[in-house]
Amino acid sequence: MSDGPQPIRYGGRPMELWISRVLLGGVILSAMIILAGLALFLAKGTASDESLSSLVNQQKTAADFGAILRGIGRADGKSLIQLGLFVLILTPISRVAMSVFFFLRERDRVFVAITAVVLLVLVGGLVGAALSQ
Amino acid sequence: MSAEQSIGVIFGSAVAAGLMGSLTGLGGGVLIVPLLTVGFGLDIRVAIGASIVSIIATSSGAAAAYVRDHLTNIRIGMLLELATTLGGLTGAFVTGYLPSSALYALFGIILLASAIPMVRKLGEEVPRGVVSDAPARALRLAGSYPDRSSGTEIPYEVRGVPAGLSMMYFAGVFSGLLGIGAGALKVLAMDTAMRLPMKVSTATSNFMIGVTAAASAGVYFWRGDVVPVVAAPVALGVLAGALVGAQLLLRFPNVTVRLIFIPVLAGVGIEMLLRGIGVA
Repeated sequence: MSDGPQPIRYGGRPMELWISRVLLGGVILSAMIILAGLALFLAKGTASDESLSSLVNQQKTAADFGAILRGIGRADGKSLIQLGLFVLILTPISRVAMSVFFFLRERDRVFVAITAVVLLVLVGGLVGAALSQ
Repeated sequence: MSAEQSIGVIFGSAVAAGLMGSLTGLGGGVLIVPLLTVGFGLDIRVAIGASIVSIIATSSGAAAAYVRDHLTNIRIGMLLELATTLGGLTGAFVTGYLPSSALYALFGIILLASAIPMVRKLGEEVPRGVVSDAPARALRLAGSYPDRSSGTEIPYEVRGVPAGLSMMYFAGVFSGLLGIGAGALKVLAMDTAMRLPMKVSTATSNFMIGVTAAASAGVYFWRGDVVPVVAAPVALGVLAGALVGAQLLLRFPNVTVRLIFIPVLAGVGIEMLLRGIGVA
């Protein structure tokens, strides 16, 4: 019977705690941005005869990072929601990035490679999908 | 109904979906897609886009708690994410080319299949007589988890890494294809192929769901399938519902909830399947 690997620690705290904090922090931050964006969107109001499906058709266009940033500049609720959704997508990706760092410190080469490949797939997919639009 | 009213109703329904999802252990995603398509008449790709981002929110929240409680096997989770993220990307790309009818039919089948583990509970609490095989030993995957009732650490061994990895690829494909967490498939893979204890499988599955969903969510996001006006109330609602559900779970056994839930799941599954084959 083999014992599990020794717990990995950083700054006197176990890796589990750091992972837990990053996940929770990312979710809270993104939820706050999405909430602010939705509030802004609803506050500005839509045309009274506008239906949900016409709004959906308007907003169902390929996302563009430049357009999102410009939209936030002019306090556009829709763009702020998109920023929040993007932060949400980045949350688990940050967790993977952090794990690469933890395994590097432990000099656990196999798991550095494993987590780095996962990170590459995630970042590659995100960037590749953005560029192919 | 005005757009504002629709957003309010979507939010309210998403709270209910998040609540049911967390009480039954299915996650909210499996309910969100039928709700948005059958209930609100939205395009199934828009529904999947909203669902996939809401899954990141709920699974990250749950994973944070499980990881802190040392139930998650982080090494196994990270290893299997190799397969689930590739699967997630595959699924998200394929969805762009499949006709809506195929997505409806597949979703119906998945809903009906997810009712099965609710009818008869799968797996043993802690499988006996498992001996770690060579890959599991080389990767140091064996571990232990704290048992609250006895106050002791329960050690466990691991096997079936290649089989687990291949099953996880398909769990990733379904997650990316349909915007669900595919938690049931992930637990099934860890339970049957790798012989992990049920609690560890469940916690580790949750740990992987967010990363798997993030792989496909990026594709949906840039493609324009994550429509802000739909995704915002869905993500916030499901998250709120899941938070309330997690509190309720501490107080109520989930047996009754499951019994009420099975016919709902079967009904919605049949509805989606019929839409897929063009009857409804």
